[in-house]
Amino acid sequence: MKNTLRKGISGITIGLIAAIIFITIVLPLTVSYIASLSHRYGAQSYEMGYRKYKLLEEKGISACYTKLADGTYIVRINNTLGNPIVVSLIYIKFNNGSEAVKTLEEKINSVGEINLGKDALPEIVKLITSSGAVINVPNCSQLVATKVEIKEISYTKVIEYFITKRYPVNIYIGDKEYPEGITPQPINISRISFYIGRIASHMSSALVILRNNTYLISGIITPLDDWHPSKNPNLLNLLIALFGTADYAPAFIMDSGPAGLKIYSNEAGGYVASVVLLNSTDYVNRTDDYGYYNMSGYVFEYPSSLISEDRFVVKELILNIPYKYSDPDTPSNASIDPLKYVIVNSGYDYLIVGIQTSAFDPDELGWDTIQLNGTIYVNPTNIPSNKNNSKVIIRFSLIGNKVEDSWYHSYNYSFIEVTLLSNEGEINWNCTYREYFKKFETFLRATYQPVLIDQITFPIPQNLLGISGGENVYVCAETAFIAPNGTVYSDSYSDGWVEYVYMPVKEIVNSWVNKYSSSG
Amino acid sequence: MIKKALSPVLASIILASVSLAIGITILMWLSSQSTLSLRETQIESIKAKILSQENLVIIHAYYNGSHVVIYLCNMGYSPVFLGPLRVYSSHNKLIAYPTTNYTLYVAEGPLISEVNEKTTVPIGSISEFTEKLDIRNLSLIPNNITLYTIKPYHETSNYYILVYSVSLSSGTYTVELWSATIIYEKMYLLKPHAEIISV
Repeated sequence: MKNTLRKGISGITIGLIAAIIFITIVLPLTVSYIASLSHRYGAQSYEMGYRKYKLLEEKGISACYTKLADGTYIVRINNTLGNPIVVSLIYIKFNNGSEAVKTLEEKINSVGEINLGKDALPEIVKLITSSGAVINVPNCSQLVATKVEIKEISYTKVIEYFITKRYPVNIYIGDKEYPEGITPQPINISRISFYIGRIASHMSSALVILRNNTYLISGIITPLDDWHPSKNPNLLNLLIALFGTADYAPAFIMDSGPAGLKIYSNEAGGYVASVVLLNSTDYVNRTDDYGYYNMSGYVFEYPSSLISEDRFVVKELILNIPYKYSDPDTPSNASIDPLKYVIVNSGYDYLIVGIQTSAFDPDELGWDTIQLNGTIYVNPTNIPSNKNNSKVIIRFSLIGNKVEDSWYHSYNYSFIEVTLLSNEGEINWNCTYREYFKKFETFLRATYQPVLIDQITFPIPQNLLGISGGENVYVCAETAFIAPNGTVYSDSYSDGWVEYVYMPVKEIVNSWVNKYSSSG
Repeated sequence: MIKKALSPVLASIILASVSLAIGITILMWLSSQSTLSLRETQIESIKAKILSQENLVIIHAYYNGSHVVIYLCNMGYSPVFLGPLRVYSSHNKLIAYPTTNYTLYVAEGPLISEVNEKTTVPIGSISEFTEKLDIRNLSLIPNNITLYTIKPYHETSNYYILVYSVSLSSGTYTVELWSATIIYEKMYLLKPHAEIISV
């Protein structure tokens, strides 16, 4: 009886002590931890949304300043976001050393102008939007070779203007801008070109079916040679109409006819993501690894047939056109420039870096072979004290051999090495590339043949760099052409390092997948 | 000598008292630890919330031959405190503290004057300074710091000019300005804002 009583009292005492410990320590800690997690999660989501919007503005708004006939300087702004933005501040540094900050509240819907007055010639102009995005404004003459006046231009015209004039802007079309989608109209195929009214992409990911007739196109894009005029003469008209030249095959095309929307990219290392609604299954979906090294390439074309009048609707589109940073030095031989541009771009959850050389025919220099070697250094957050300490170093080497034909020639290229060095060691890596096509013609006919790989780009997963969206990355490059006699033409980015704000689109693309995969 | 046995009741009371004393001490220690932990969690939680709403913007930065000049504004909706400024390159690493090493001016319309709103507080976390600012010499970290307050642009239409008098040799430098916050009357670092300048 006594033992039972003792056991009971002991049990109650232990229970009480446990309850006291639980109430005084464990419970507050647990509650506080849960509250802290929910606070932090909420704060992070808020910050991500905030930052994403700021970055979209930085990438989706382009501007340049120019001088009018009366001596007034104006900033021309092109807002491709679809949503209005507010410019709150303008910073101007003049060429006489003076500077000015103007505060204003200028709302820009799609295209707008801001008057800078008739002060001295601006050297540096920056716009600051109400969300805190800082937009660098270059001189318009640095961007376009010919003077183009923008007057009452539509949103689609703005896109056309940007694309055909090769502004380094990114395009983001969502269903907020076009709730009904974009529906190009197939036109009289005998009059111009069958490519009018077609969407086509050469990408690094396979076509994904989201539901019934809704598809996701996504991946790194690179020009595809079988769309090139040498293989596909019908494309020539479109290329000539757009660019006055057919030196490069297209990587991505979306076109609604001569007066409508034209989106066209012929750069290696671009990134596309789009949700399209097709009203038939008459599309091309096949693998094609041309332009991709150590990675797969896929082709999507809709409609597949010349006689089809099937329409499609673009519900969402992101096209990240690579940023090209010009290497300002002048090579000793103007035609042989191993480093004309350093290329940087953002993809799904990876950075894309690369180089572009000058475009020339090695045969004109008497070279039967040509070798191109290069190293690209990439470092997050800051410029490393020594470039060899960069977090990621990419090395590549490729060689081209001349192939003679009766009245033209071309060069066949093969990669000797493509490696990526990071904290995880050195591994064989992959790349995308673009070929420069030279025109050969006799009085009877003409052909375009590939003579030089002039663009090479490499994806770098963000986890290898330890970066996330909105963070700076620094890139520099060294390249060299090697002639058959062993002469080395080397070059490096003479402005030091390229500074680039990394902006992956994973969140946006994933939100599309969730949105369009669900039923309804 | 006859030893008198301790009464079992007394022995039980002593044992119970000692156990209770040890138990209470352990409980108090655990409780103080949990309070500390709770406080740290609270600070981190408050900081995360403030950080998410901070929107300091560097408009432009350059070196004019004798000073690093930074134009900035606060595009958020709450006031922000300005923390330390780091100017570094591969061969040079400088750190400047507000009010002692650099001065902040506010542009209110056409008028430019030194910012009057300053707050002096102790530093909340030394390790934050050593880790985030890469300071190896602890004597370079002040005990107290006087912070400038930057008001939101949306309320005032003011922008700010930071001037740091320094001699820099030619090269490329990273200018890194830290925003800061005050929690429980102590200063904590928030977010770095960086620009590259060429000298």
